[in-house]
Amino acid sequence: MISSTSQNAEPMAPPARTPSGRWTAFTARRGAWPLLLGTALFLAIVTAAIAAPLLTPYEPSRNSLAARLHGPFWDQAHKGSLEHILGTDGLGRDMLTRILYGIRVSLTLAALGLVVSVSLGVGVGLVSGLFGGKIDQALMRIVDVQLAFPYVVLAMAIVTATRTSIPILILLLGLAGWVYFARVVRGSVLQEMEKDYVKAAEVLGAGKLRIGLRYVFPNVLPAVVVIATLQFSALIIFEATLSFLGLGIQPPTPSLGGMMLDGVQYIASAWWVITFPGLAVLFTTLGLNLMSDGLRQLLDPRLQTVQ
Amino acid sequence: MLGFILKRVFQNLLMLAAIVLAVFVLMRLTAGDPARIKAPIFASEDVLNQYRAQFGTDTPLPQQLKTFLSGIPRGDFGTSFRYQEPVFSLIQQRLPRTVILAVCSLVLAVSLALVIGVAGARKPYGWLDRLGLALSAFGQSAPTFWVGLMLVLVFSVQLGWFPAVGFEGPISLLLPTIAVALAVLPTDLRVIRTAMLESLGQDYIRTAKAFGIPDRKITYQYALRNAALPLITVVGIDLGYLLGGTIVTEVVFNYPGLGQLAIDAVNARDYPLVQAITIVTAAIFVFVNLVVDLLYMVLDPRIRISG
Amino acid sequence: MDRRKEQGLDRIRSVAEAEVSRRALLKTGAAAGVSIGIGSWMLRGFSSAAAQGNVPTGTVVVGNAEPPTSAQWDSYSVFGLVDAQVASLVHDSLLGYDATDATIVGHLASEWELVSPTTTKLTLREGVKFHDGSPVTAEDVKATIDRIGNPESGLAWHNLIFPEGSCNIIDEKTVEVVTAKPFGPIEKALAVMPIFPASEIATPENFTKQAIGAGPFKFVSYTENKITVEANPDYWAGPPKLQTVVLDYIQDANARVSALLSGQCDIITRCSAEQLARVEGDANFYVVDVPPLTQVLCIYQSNGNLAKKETRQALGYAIDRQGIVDAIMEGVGKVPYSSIATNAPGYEEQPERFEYNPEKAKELLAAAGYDGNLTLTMATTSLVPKQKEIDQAIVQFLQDVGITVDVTTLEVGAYRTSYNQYDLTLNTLASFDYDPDFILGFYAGPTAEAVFHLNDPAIAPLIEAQRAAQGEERLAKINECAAYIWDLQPALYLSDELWPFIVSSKVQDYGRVPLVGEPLMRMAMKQA
Repeated sequence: MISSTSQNAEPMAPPARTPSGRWTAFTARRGAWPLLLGTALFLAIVTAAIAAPLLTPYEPSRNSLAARLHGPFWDQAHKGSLEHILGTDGLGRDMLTRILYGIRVSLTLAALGLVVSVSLGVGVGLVSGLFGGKIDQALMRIVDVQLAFPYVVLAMAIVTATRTSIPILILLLGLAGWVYFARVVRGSVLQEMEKDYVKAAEVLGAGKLRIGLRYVFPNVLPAVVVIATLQFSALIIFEATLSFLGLGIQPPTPSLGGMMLDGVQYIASAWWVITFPGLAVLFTTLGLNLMSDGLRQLLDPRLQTVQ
Repeated sequence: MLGFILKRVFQNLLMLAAIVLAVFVLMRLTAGDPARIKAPIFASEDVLNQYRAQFGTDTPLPQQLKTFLSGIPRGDFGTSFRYQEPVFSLIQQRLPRTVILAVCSLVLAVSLALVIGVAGARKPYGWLDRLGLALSAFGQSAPTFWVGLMLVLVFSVQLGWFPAVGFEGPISLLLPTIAVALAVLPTDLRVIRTAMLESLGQDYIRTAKAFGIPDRKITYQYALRNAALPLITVVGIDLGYLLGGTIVTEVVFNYPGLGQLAIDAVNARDYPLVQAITIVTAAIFVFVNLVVDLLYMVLDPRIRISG
Repeated sequence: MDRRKEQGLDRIRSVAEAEVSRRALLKTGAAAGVSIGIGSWMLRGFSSAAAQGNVPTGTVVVGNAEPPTSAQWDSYSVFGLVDAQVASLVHDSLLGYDATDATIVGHLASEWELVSPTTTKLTLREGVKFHDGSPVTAEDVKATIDRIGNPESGLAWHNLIFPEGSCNIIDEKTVEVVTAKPFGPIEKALAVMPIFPASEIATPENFTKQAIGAGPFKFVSYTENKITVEANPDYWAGPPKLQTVVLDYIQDANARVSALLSGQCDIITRCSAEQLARVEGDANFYVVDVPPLTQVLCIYQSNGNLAKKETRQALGYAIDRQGIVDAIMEGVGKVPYSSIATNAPGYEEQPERFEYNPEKAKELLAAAGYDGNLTLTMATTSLVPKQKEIDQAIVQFLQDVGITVDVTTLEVGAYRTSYNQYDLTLNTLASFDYDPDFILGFYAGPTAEAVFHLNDPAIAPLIEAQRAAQGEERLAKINECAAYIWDLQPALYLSDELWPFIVSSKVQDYGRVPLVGEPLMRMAMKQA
């Protein structure tokens, strides 16, 4: 709800006809710049990750014992050279290459986890809001239980017991975030249901499911998009955390959390091994968070109450 | 009022029971045989059976559940497989440290948020406000464990100012506190800033201004009081997060709190310990939420009717 | 080497003359082993005044990378580093070690005599008491020996440290330890076998509550991963110099160094090259590396895909052991060319060295019928220092000769219990009694089946043969047995583990014998 009362006095932009005029009008809106900056940052990172094979001559998992622990190119004291711009890790693998491939892995896993989260959360939220009553109460109790549960402990128990596999990892990521979608969607549905047009549709004999999908869902969509960008970044961090605890994707496949785990033992002798993968996570999630922030402000001022 | 409180307490107790059951079943479905983990590598089946008898894992599941449930009212959560100490006393040793860490981080985060949030609301986009936004963006985007590692890298390894290990008095609290506080700061700051902006825009504040009441007094006496409500919510959310969220930080700093204990317990398939830790954490979370609800009712009479 | 480091090294040498500094160690690559002559404890001349008058003072905290196996203080059923430390501090044995030259001397027995290849006669020392005040009697010795010598005991140490055997009481002060078959390493075994009170053995549930022994330190507590022992003022050889020894578990390698640097602990055990680098040139610390007979090896499961000897030999050629030791272990290791540790009595380099030769590996694989279609499973964890990196290097070397490796990461506990379901698993193997017999014992009988899925009937007689022999002949027989196993290549013998300990200079007269435990801790003292 940032400054909605004090600054909403801004005059609406005049209708723009030229492209540059449209651009000016867009950038004048609150939230446009964070969205643009965030999108640019995120897209740049994604592009670099996709283009990784073109950008670096190295393979991400190829050891080179002779070139272990070289520093980044400016760190001459640690044998840094332009050959390995961000240096090498404990097995002589190029840091930049591994980070780029690691971003691919992290983004893919987080995106798939997000799909699970959104489907489950939106589904539960819609059902809960539309049908209310006992179903609503039962579902919301489940949400409460999940929120009260130390989720990391649960995730650890499951992973140690079942051994890490990609489907389980995606499921864990998905289960980590669905409650936020469920809560917000339910809230929005309840708000929408009070509106006249929905009541009218109900009077005209439209089924609950039809009302939900046809009328309510499109109105809930902006909220879902905003939370989804935010959750995307949260899942990237969560995936890195799981990998850091050794529960994520398995070596030698590079993952950002796994690289940081490898780096811990060199924290006193080779600072770059632990520093750069963290920076990669930081910039990726920063991009997403800026996007989310911008979207929230642009899409609907009312959404700003949604945490 | 009393009826409502009782209903709320009852609901929460039900929720706790659900969590207890879920933990019990999940642990036994997912975890391996604790006897195998405890026994020496070459142990015979006889030795394994001795361990199973000692752990009570040789009886059928319903029997185990009965034993477990009958102990809870007496505060008897069983004996840890790994430490062979009553689980209760293990938690008694560790919980205070985690609580100290959580409370210190919370105090730091909330005071920072208050200072920056109030200043930011009085003067939006001033330098303090911008600093706050930057800190928020960083705290939200960087994995907490990585922030912790960077603090260790800079202040312990490079500068040698702080111990990086264990619990050696207040000094070893400093770095973990900063790392954890940074993680909860964004939410706190956003909530306080928004609430302050909102209340500064209220009619009665304008009236107060018109009556010539000093700016300072308005901010701190009237507006801040209104911001108290969202602040309480946030503290509730934070506490819940912190009890689970300090786990990874505790690992990074080798801080001997509940989180470390949880990780050890999961790794050793120490059912009684894992069960007790989840229950205690969940109970605290539920309790804090209850207190938050009640405080809400006291502070904002409008809420009493719902529920 | 700059001047400051030079001075630092001088200081190190003067503090603990005989110990090898890391730098020297890396230059020569030598495993120190037995050759480290006089112990620092002999230089007691310039020790602190605090310890004079034999009043125990000071606390030494040892930072370990692992906790005890369990809170079950029965030394005969556990294998961990900390278990051995507790055994050596709290308990005493019939024979024992008093100096770093690893000479065996009488402890609870004042005299002993090998009366036949199966029988040792021992005279018990007078007036020795357990910590609970009861005297150490022939009954206690008999109860202890009969228990471990009983094949039905189910004890983990049975037949590794002591074979089938028993104890006869001749009179109140004299006992005979008898083994069913000749047992060469009997003295070394008796020097590490703790004598328990017969009453404790009769009530085994006590082992979960307490550890009562006749050793130089009394067991005080085990809480929060810390074991505390304190001086036993009535120890038969005089009270130890230290009042308290704490065995602390600090999981994280960096945290162990930090704890050492900040004075939170005084000794950290089994250090890596990274840890050694942190104190290099620092006069406040010195390095002690007297390893037990200990190996880092990649265990193969000799069933399934690795059933053929040729396939396993091909793996030996495919992997550059020296390369891994030089790069990843940064020289803190020594590549063996036999199946026992290079510092083991009886170790000799074998003529076939299985050195890195990928071409030969491919030839052998082709001969064994594999043509780029061999897939092996590997489990990895963090049991061995730098395990993940070593494992990834091994995977790469195998891929280079056309072998596919399917890697699973397990939590340490799960790894320990299921390693033998994977073709390749890195592990360490240490002898508890400074005798290679302990290691060779792993390759025969049910243990070999359990650890390696190996069942070669030729090995058991070779083990028996070296057990039956004495002196020089025994060394030759040990080599014969080791050579046979080496040819089988049931594992990748990656390296000796050098066990460097970093010790604070405040701890004086700290010495080690090539054992896992710390029998010389009672000689050490700490400057205030």
